[in-house]
Amino acid sequence: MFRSLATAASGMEAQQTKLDVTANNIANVSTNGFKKARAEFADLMYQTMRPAGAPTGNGANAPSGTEIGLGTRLVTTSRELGQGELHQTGNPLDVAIEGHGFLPITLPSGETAYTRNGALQVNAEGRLVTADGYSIAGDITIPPEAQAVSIAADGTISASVPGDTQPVQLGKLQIATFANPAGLAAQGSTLFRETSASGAAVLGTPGDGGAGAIRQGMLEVSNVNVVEEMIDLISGQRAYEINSRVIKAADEMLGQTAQLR
Amino acid sequence: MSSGIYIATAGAVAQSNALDATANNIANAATTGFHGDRVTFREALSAARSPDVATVGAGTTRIDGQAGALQGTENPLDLALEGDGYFGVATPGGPRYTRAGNFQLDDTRALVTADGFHVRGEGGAAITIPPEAKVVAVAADGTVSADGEPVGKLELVRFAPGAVQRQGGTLFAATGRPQPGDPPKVRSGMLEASNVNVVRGVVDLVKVSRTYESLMRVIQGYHDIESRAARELGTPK
Repeated sequence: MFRSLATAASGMEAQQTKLDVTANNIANVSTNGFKKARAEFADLMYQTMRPAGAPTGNGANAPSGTEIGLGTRLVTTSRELGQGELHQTGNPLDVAIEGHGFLPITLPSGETAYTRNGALQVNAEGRLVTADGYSIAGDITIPPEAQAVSIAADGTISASVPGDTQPVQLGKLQIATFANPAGLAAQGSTLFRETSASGAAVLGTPGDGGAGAIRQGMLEVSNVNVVEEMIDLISGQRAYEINSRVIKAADEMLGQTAQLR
Repeated sequence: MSSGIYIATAGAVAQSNALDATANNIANAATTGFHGDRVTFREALSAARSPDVATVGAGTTRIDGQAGALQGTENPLDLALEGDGYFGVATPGGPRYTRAGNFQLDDTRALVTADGFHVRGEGGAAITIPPEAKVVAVAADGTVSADGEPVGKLELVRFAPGAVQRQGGTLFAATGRPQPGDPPKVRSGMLEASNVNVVRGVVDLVKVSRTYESLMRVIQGYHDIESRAARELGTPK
């Protein structure tokens, strides 16, 4: 049977995956701290029917061989960690990271996760938590009587408390950086988990070394570009269609062969 | 038996190989750095049997050397090559070459391909970015710098068109020595898209399937002639 049937099927599968990735990017176009993914493909093995340079007789060598490719495969869905736009919100507990790095979060299970979504809030116990209610690593508590909370570029959180003329330091946000942030595992809810590919988290002071600085009163929006995604959608859909045409052509050719007799 | 039926069969086999190559091109229309195959046919003379009869070979595939379109990605580690040539890649099977520059960093901050193979620097060493680096840039000559300090230079090589063999994974193995001449220029923040032209792919598809159909008619024709000959000439009067 023709190799092209399986080859075209691998192409359709690849385009379907591309569509799935694009759909998730578009769905998260207004998710704060979301990082878009990109499906990457590579060609499969080649069946070498005649290698290049093989003798063709009369002392000559073939300048090019006969290599028939067997399709495509998904290599990775790499995450593009480019900075999303920073939007001013004016909310003192909204923080954006300008530069590399993630905010470490303590999950209820005790594990640490990392996020770039800095829409922070204060929960019933006065603890600084994410929008999903997970506490920021370091257990920072903001007392109810605190006023005018300010978060400096280096992560220092301070507030003025009645009766104190000097602002009181309440804690310090830290930034985790990774050797290979693209290797982090996405957990949903804009949370990421450390993996062996990402390397261990390096905790540092915001704005120091490779770590990004904290910007108070701002949020980093999704880095999805809708126009790019729409183009991916169109090209993916058309490529899917053309791969299906290959299957149809191979099927017709096989049908003609089957009718010989 | 007439030899024509074998000529038509050889043609059909050649066309089915062409279909397979076209299918692979179309399947890889979204593969970064992929270069499609062009199939060329050559007549194979079977002079031993009759000087007038020629048949067709199974077809030769030639890598389409034309560069694919460059697409901007804004990621400094996405690299595209402008001009003939390849990036060097270190694999367990030895050095390989690719035009797919969708590179990343691994857990040791070494530059790797999407499949995780180290990208070769000049001399074959891996290129590692120091952890404190904020800005990574790649110059047109392949020099990789972190915060302005050079940390390595990408191996950029050129080969004669027939001196590379496909390995899958957009990798090529060299079957000859690198060629002298200007290495390709590196464009950072861009990727070379697949050079497959889907319009040409669809046209090839139509051409292949129609040629195949005609050859099937030829085979059917010979079949009809021969069955008629067997029926009419084989019947004793």
